[in-house]
Amino acid sequence: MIAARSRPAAVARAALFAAALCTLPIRALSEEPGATQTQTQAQTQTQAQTQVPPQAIVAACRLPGAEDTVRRMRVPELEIAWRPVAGAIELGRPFSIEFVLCPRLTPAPPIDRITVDAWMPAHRHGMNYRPTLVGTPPAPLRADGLLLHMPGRWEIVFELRAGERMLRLTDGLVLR
Amino acid sequence: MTRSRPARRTRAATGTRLALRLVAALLLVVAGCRTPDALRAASGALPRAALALGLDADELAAIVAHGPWPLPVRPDPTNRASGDPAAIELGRRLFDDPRPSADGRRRCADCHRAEFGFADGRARPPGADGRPLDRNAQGLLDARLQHWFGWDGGADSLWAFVLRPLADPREIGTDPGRLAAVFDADPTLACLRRTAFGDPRPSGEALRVQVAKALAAFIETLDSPRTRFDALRDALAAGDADPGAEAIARAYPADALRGLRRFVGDARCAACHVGPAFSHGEFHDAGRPFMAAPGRPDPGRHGGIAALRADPFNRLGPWSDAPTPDAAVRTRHLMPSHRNFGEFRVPGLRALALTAPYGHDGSMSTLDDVIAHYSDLDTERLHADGEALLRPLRLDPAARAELRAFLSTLSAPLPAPPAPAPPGPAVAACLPRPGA
Repeated sequence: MIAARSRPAAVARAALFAAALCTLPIRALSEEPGATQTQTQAQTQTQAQTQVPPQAIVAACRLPGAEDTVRRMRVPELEIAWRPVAGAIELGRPFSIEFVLCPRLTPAPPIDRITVDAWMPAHRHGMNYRPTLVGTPPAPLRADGLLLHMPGRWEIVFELRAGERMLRLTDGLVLR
Repeated sequence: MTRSRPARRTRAATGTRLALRLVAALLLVVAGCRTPDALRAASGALPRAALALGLDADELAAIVAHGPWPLPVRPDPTNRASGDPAAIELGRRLFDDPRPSADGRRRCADCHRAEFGFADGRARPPGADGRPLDRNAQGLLDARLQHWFGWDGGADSLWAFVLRPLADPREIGTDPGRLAAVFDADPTLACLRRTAFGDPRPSGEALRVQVAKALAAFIETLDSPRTRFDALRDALAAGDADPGAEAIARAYPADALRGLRRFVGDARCAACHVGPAFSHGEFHDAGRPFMAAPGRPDPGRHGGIAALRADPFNRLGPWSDAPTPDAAVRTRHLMPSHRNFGEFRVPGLRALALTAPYGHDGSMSTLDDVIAHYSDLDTERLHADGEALLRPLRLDPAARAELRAFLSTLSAPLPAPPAPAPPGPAVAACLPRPGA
């Protein structure tokens, strides 16, 4: 059921949720390849599931800087806004991306793990590198250490584990 | 039942209109099929040189991406001696000096000979014990452009890679005491070392690292020469701004051009052999044998990653001179996988004609053997974990010859060593005075 809500209240909830979402238990890679560590913070999930008005989604889903460089991907539960940190992604060069997760439903599913990866569908292989997630919410999170080593079509892949569910969001790009 | 004449005329007119619409629609579809290249060409977006060769926009972009050449020199941030004239001169001399080796006879230059593109022309060079080493000696030209070194990528810097043969008793097998003795006995080398690295001279592993960094500084200067391909590539990249571009492009051999189009096109060679050095610098299982000896497999990249992560000389360690962690981003994020077993580094293709035999084990004697391997590839042999990149090219003899013709344009004779330029003052101060 979709409940009507006033816009300011929805915006506030969305902002609160966005901040909470970014501080949910996140499995982040440590500095040593292959090792993992876990950061856990409390969250509140008490409200009924409610779709957030589109205006609020946009308001909660911004990255600092020029909007026209932001790319977006959506599933019914949430939206991800992301972009490369240092301009264009270049073939064979390490790069970082920054991103924010934004709710499309309140409360959103409790995200307990985020992974960022990249995949080349036509070749059926991914990167040779495992990105590291860093960041201090509510600032955007950053994934470091991505590297696309072949020309062609890649997908940036976000996998969000919400309990037993896995949300998978992808965004395609072509490298020459 | 009959129809009236006006009715038949109406039907005929309607049919004609339908036919015309169908033809128009078909023309639109055909026009659409020709975009974007035909439309770009019509609008003049493709340079005349590309049009003269019949290249489309995708081919043009793919070809231009293999340059320019040579690439600008960028010092290795992990090696403070990188680009330093005294270190380069020290490395040049040590490269050809047998005194540091365990038996006093083995030189780097034995397995890295200039006439073979700094490879050695053998499938696998013999070790100090007379038995062949596990892998082919890779050419050292353009090594400065790599991110991973060795067939297995077991080193993440050129100097760390040099440490391996320096320490391996089957290769140079030196030790810090022997190196110290060489510097004690040779005032020129001692002076060059002091100029490059300062005093006091370290002992132990630190001295071996200095020698490796000096050798790396020298190897970084070994660039492969420009080739016929580079002339074509630059002409295409220059566009119509260069009035001579079309003539240069037309001078490129026709059979090589067909091979080039296949290379960047349906053969998909440029998926891995991409960029100015014709390699993405990563690793692949290309279906080659991976037994180093009977009963002993060569783990390739799988072992290389393990060695790299255990290596105290990797970019994450204290021996790196990089001022920021950025220089170690690849190493820090490296992800081992079981599919790395049997993967080997994708070699660059420049100076290819000099560096036969080919493959990590030197088991392909000629370029024809390499082309035949990819033409007749046994996909059952691949253990690529579901990857769908390689497939047999099924090339007929003409296509193989064209591919070989293209690959031949990636090589040029190494120029004769130029007369040595007068050394700078720092190096000159270390050199013996004429007549002294």
